[in-house]
Amino acid sequence: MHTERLELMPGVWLNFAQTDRFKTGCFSFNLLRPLAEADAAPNALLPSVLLRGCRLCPDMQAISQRLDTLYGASIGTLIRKKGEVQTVGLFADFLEDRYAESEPVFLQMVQLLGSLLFEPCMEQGGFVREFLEGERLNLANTLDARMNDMRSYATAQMLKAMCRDEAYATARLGEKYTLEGLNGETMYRRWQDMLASSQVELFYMGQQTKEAVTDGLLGILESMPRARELAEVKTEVVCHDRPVQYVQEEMDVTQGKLALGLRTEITASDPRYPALMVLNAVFGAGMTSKLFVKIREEQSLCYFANSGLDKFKGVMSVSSGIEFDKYQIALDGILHQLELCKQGQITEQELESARGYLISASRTGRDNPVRLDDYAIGQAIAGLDGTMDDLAVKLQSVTMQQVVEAANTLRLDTVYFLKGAEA
Amino acid sequence: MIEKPYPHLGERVYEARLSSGLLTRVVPKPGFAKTYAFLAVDYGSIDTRFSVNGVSHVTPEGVAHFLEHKMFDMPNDGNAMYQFSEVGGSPNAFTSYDITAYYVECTDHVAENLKILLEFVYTPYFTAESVDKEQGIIAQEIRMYEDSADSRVYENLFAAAFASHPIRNSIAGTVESIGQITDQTLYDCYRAFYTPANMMLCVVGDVDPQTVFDLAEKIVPKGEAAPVRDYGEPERMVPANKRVEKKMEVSMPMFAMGFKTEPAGCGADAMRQEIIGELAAEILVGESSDLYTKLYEKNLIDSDFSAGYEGLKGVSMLTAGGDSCDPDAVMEAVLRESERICANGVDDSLFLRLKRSALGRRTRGLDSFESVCYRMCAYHFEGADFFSFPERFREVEQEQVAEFLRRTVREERAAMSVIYPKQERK
Repeated sequence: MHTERLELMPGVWLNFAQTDRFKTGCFSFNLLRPLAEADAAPNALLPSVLLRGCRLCPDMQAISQRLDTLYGASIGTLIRKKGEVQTVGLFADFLEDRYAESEPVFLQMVQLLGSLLFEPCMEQGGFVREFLEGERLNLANTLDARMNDMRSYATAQMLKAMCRDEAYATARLGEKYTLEGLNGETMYRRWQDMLASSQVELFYMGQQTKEAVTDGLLGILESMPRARELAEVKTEVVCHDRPVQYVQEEMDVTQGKLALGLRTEITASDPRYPALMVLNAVFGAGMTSKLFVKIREEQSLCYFANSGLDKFKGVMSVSSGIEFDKYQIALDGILHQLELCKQGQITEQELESARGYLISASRTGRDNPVRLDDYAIGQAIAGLDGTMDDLAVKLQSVTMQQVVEAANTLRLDTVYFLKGAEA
Repeated sequence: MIEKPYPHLGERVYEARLSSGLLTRVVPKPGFAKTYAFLAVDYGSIDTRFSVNGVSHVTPEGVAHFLEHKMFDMPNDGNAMYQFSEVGGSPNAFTSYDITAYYVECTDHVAENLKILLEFVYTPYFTAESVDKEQGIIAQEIRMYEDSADSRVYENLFAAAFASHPIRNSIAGTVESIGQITDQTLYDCYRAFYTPANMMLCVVGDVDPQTVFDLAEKIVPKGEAAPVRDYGEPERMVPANKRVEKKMEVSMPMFAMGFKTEPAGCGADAMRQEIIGELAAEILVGESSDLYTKLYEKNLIDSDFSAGYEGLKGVSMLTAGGDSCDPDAVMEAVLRESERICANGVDDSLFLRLKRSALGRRTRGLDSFESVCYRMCAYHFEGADFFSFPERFREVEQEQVAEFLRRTVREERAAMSVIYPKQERK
């Protein structure tokens, strides 16, 4: 697979990967925005409004019919939170031209993307009111529905409490109240401003040559408005010295959810980051981690317990599902396992399992278009180069001592518990 | 070893029946880093009543899933998880209504990983203590599903619509039913179902087929014939209950509707009916249909809405579900649209377009190793060849789809499951 990153226009980057291993080609278009509570939901709303109609396909049904004709291609919204950066855009995947019997798909998909982004249906100088209102309602419902998934709800509530004075507290899709008072005209202006003032990251993976892809994309990008100054995006890493805060919430649920938030100064650009990844795997990621083996399997304290990293922000989250009366024993158990890591009580076997798991995950990353896209965009945001294969090489040389040192950078910040409502 | 080329799909499949009776297929994928080895058992949560050599067994709900959890245990305090982790494999397993599968994804040491996979699944080891401990873990898992509206809404639909078929019961069973499981239950069910004649091995990756066959030939032990299953009386087409409601912590009503239809036959028939059912769902209320557009524009459904066809041994259903402020209005509209389509017939160009779309999506699905393995096994257990899907698509005619809709999507065959919010939220 040939990969390359090139600047198509000032501030517009293409992350290109050529391969003929897949039957599916894909691309994504992403605008990089500073994560902010007031903007996150209105920004996230925009791609959904765009998918309601454009010059080429004036309504939703026309878009779906077009995608049917293109051998069941799909195009959807793509909103991500990467540290304190929100990416806003669209993702498309489609049958590779060599499997399409009668008409090539790639160029038609690029043209559809161009029309959706730059030629949305308009009325009275703004987005079509009906499209905007419909999608506003859908997004508001999606935001309300976050609490249907108690596990991610608990982690989100934990992060909100932990980072209440930081941009990071804002959820990926923002908050419902910020959707009030928007209209077609202000939203259209927001979209034009975003197109003009954002760093743009494009991703393509498929059989097409670099020339075919750059020509196709430049063809649609020429109509994009561009400003001289681009909005700056960055993530603030915070490590303050304060006592652990404890937060509890009650709801009518049958299983309790425990979420812990920890901070570290190590982020993706830090040379110690691969060691932190290994530590995270030893502690709480995968089926050989201490949380899985000791807390779940040996002590039957919970159905799940795992940890994850935000490599941009320097935050580790631990998430667990427990019986309500196991709160203290589960919390103590989880913290005890972390303490063991800090004291260096990690076996060779635990270390090598964790390393093997991570290296294998990095190497299989290039077999997966979605992960390739996500990694490339993440690297672009962190201002890093290097592929998942490069990461695999770095993971190879991480030592036990580096892992223990990484563990000792972690400080518990917030403990959140979602428990059942009293009868 | 048989070699089957599928040039239009850009695939080549190698197949061998081992002397143990295990059907093994390899799909080479040159240039990929990962290899996927998938060992499936034709045994799921619906297989609670069966007979072996004329002796019938009735087992508690949830044994297939429980067994899957306990398979990883090995004698002498061993656990297959650790063995995999030593050779860099990521193992996992799942149990569905009709299949149990164990699989491992790896980048190196493919032979070692495959060996561990085969050895651990062919080494049953259950003790009273380990069964006892697992009951705690699975009880937690069941509680978690109880809080999940997504799974509840469909489980409730199946429990309402079907009168006696075991699809009525949830895959993991209940806290009470798993309490009745003993190590002996596990051994009985293991011996009945985990026999090579009732299983299939698939390997997808940059591998040499002969090496896979040789290795499996050495490890897989001989076994008995597959058991005879009993799913009870054939289901009537009228739902046992037309409606089931529940209140949960959800923000908006969530619904699943189902229309009972005649179960498919075996082999190519099963795949053909699935394609007909899928196309019927697309024509009726797929994303590019008139009805979908109308419901979406009226805010009666959102982009989470989906419709499709479900077929299992002994039961078949066209289903649709999602979130809606007014699920009954959606049901009403679906029934009326079905009448309209049946009266007017299915438009030629629409039919061809939807067929092209569905075929394109299936072809793209071949990029997923997991989906290829799963589908190869699932279709094989139905007696069909997964890679024959392009021919099956070609055979399907619009009149068959119209006939399916006419027969299936009607008031008397409809059942509805709704989960309402516990309280109005601000």
